[in-house]
Amino acid sequence: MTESFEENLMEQDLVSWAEKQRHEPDPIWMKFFDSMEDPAFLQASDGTILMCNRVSEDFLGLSRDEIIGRHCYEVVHKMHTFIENCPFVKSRKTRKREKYLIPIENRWFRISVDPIFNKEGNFIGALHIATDVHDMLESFAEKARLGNIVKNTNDAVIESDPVGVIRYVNPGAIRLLGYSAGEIQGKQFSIVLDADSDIDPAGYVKTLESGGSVVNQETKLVAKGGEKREVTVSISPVYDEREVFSGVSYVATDLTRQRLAEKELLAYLTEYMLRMKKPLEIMKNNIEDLSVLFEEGVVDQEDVKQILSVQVKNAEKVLENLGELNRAVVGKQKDLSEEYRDFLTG
Amino acid sequence: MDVSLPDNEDNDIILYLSDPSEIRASNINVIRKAEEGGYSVIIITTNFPASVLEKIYNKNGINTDNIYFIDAISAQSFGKSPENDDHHFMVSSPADLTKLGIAISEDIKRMQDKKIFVLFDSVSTLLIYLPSVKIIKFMHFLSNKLRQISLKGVFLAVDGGLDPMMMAQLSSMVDEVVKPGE
Repeated sequence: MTESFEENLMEQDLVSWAEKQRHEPDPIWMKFFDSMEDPAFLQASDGTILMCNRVSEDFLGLSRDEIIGRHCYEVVHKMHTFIENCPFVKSRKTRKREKYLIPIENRWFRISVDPIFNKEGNFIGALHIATDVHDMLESFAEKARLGNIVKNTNDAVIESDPVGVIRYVNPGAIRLLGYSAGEIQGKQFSIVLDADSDIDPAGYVKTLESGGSVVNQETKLVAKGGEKREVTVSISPVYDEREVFSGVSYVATDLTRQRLAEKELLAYLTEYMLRMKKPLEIMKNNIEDLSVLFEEGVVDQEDVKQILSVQVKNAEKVLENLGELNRAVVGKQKDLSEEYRDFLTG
Repeated sequence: MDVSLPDNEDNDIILYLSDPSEIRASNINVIRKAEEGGYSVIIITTNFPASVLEKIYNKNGINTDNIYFIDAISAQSFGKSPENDDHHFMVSSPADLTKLGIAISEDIKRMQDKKIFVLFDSVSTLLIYLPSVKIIKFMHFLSNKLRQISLKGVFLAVDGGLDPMMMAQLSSMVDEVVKPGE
């Protein structure tokens, strides 16, 4: 809140002072006032602008003479009366600083109004400053957006300081490792590393601090209950607002589902080998044997017919087995497209 | 190829793994060794029909008088089972393990006064008709049957044709696993 003056100024004194500064400006005062980066107005108790700084002219696209004597709602908002929630009106009522965020020509401004009182506590005017907070808000919004991505990703994100102490874990890391944030923050990152892991936190700090990079690694992390989690870890440097190296981030993707898929693929290939490759080898060799036996006169045409008939039955059974296998595989794959479903089971 | 199994008192049951191209020759060699050892052979065939095997044995100078066939494949080609006789017992399909088991039990019982050797040809062909779990159970039944009355036998299979789990389980049922080249 702006301090009240020693002398018991009346509003007219403020008007007169502003009028004098307009025509015979105090160079030090004006230098100070014009050096402000934000548009600032001195207002009378009814909102009339008594004085404005130079940046206000650029901000409003009006000359100082076009601004002074008019109300803020006219020059700023192009209205005929105070806008709803006008901080000037609120400040006059609450007798304290009021702030308000408002979009002006696609940028966000924070309007702050400080009331001016005389010695008797009468409201005699206010100082109105519009601060361009657009970039700051954008920055906050971006940080919040990125923060939400980190917070909501399924991956485990762990940040450690340069000596390996965990500073942050996201919900994904809490789910993967079973620790609460409170349990793990402040602990060494190495407590979640498997004894056989190739992850080298101290080595990474040296590499990343000197501008080097670390390739992704597959490793095992150890959860609170001792369970080992197979993960792939992306390791990156963390910089503070001054772009100074301040730690390491580990983004771990759980490979459990991938490993399960690999096991299922191996099981499928094994079954495929059993159901097709080896039977085909047997059938091929049977037919080759048959050819030799026929040439040697060991078997006659009836035998050839009989054995070929067996091989046809075998081939039919192999096809039936493959059909069963494919139907079983397709049944497990909920995301498979209809085209592939039909192809594999047709 | 040399198969010493009938003479080896320690190894009563053998899992015999053969190259796919050698499986017929493996069968002949096992039968020849059994014949040389004075065995009566019960051969369970799920691959070549008994009538063809007989011709192959004759061509190779093997006397088939002491060979008894349990043929689970002929019915697949003829559409109906050929007639049974003293040396031939027909089973309608390799997948009919119950009848296969009964046929083996009855043949062993019928020939109990003889020196019996059992050849199963082959575990790999059976895999065309049945899932490995059922085959393992059946081979377990067969190996137990042989052990109960101290019979010798060979389970023939294509090398590389058994998945690692099945291989491990079959290996645990037999006294020795013979691989190609051994």
